[in-house]
Amino acid sequence: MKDKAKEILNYLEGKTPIKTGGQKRVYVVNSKKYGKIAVKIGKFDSEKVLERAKRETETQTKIDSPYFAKVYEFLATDREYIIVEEFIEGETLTKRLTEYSEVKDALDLLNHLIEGLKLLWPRIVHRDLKPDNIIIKSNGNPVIIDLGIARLLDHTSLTLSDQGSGPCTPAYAAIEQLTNRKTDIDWRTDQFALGIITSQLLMKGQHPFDPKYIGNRNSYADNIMSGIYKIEVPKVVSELIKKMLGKEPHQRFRKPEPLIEKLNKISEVL
Amino acid sequence: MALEIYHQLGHNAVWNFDSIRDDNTGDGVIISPRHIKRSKIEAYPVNTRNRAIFDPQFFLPREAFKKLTTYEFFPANIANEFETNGFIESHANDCAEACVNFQIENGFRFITIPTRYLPGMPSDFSANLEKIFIRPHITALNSKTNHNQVLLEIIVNQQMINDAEYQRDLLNWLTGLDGIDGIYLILERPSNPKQFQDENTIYNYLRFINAIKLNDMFLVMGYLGLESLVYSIASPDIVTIGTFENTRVFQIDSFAESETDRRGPRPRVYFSKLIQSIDHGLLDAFSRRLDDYNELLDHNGYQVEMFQPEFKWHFTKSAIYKHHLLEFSTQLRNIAELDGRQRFERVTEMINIANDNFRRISEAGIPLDIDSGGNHLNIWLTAMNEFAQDQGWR
Ligand SMILES: Nc1ncnc2c1ncn2[C@@H]1O[C@H](COP(=O)(O)OP(=O)(O)O)[C@@H](O)[C@H]1O
Ligand SMILES: [Mg+2]
Repeated sequence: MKDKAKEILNYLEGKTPIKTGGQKRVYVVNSKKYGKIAVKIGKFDSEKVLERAKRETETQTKIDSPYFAKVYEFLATDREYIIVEEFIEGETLTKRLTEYSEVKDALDLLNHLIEGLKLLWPRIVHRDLKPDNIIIKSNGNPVIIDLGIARLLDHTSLTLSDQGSGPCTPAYAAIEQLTNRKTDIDWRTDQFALGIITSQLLMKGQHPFDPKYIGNRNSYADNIMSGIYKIEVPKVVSELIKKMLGKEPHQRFRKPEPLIEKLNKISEVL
Repeated sequence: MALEIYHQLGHNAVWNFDSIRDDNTGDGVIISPRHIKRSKIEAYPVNTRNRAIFDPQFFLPREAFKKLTTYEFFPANIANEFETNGFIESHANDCAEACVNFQIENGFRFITIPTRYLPGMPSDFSANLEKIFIRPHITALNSKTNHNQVLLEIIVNQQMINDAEYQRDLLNWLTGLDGIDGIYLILERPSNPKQFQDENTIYNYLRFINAIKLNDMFLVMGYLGLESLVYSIASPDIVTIGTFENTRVFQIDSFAESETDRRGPRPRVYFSKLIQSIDHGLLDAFSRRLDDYNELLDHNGYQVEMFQPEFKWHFTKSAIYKHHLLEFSTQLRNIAELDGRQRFERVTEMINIANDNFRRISEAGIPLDIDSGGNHLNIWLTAMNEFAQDQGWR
């Protein structure tokens, strides 16, 4: 496994990644075996973490769904891991955030995301849902990337104390992540992030916990932890989003089904 | 959904069944294996069992007292070790399987996942219960093709409920568990004074109940006394009533062997217009000094029986309990169809009337002690008002 990993690293040396700066370097490669692939390389800091990640990848490999990139291989050297997966043609949701301000469009996208995530829930929690980790294909369907693996490998990256993780991640983290209450993290943590994303869709990209938008001097995380947010969305959906943004997990939807039901009900009256 | 009334069975369950049959005082029963042998339960009519909830009472799992020995799945009957890895590895699953099978075979309305009694605020409360009972029971249930809805039994105490973080963690845990449809909730509280007089706990408990209900979980509240009127405003699905005090207040002592030789309590008569049970020794003074005593009384056949001159007051007289069950269940029935806000308004009226009545008793020169008096009423009202404020009802 290590030899093969080294081979890949050698091959990529000198090539320009399509993305650096996050947790990993991402390269696009045309492979004979798999066609167009994304090769993601990142550092890890312990064997145990690597083991867990491997198991997690195996689970992801089993999910055969258009909502997720297929994982082809998982490799590692002593210090770095490599994920080889299907390359998704399209753009991240970050770039298209302002295109969904029609209620119907926003709720359609939410519906799709839930349909995909239901394949993970409740056993697996994505833990890092945000527009950067959603790719919109040319047919408009979303693909969810960066699934759990990154979370497990870079296990410090989602804690608030780690300022190096970039300003965006805490902005989508629920209180149980921000305060590192590990046993409280479940699918409802993803639901919270979806609540933020949906508000952004409806508010032309505006983040509901953005201190500037709210007009206070807190950080995003402070606002999330105090449950201070502002949403200006049509009334039919504001109740739904309020529940998704419940400060504590027990204040959100307990199961995905009632959330989906509520969504469908709203869609009927639109 | 209308509020349902269940009888929390204990000693002399036959009185409860009489009362349900003759006076329509309940919609079902919660079975107490400590007081009722297995064979007796299996002989109950099918429709009694179909509406019953079985409380496995694994509260003190190390020792099977009394009739608990007839349930082969009670932990102490399976192994003489408990909570060791040995028990968990080799017995927890058998125990769960047999406990689940017993409940399915009897066709009880719900399957109850048992709990144990843990005092204080243990940091491993949820982990411990998951390990020894919850996961094994869920595993057993998953192997069944179909079964009724599942309730998780838990016992909370005042400390847990009044500690904001502990309560929050409990809620996040309970609502996040997979494979359960509801909670069979028990609050441990002191039995002295007889009416619960802690407004903080009552208020915080109302919030706790409300949070569970906002998660659309079925909520059965066990071991309740008159304070069920107060809790009704947070819309639980089932509240319980009972005969002897140990079915109306949860105290772990009554599940330890020593309880057998307790003295019987002094008989008390329930007055719905006081929302209190009055020591029978005060009744003569009431009748001599209260002009409208007759109006204060609840009139029914049991009352007539109790007020015969030859009636011998003793805690073993069924009329005392049947009177209580009849009059109190009627009060609950009167608010059963109302929503939370309407219940709040109605119970407030009831309390105001009771306060007036206590005032008249006091003016008549009859001071009452804490167990016969009306001290609890304003405490209840305070907690209710605060909860109502949160709900935007006032
Ligand atoms: N399978 C893929 N197909 C297309 N683009 C991808 C794929 N995986 C990642 N990317 C691009 O690379 C970026 C970073 O990848 P990601 O797995 O999210 O790593 P990070 O942990 O650094 O966020 C994504 O935001 C996306 O733009
Ligand atoms: Mg990413």
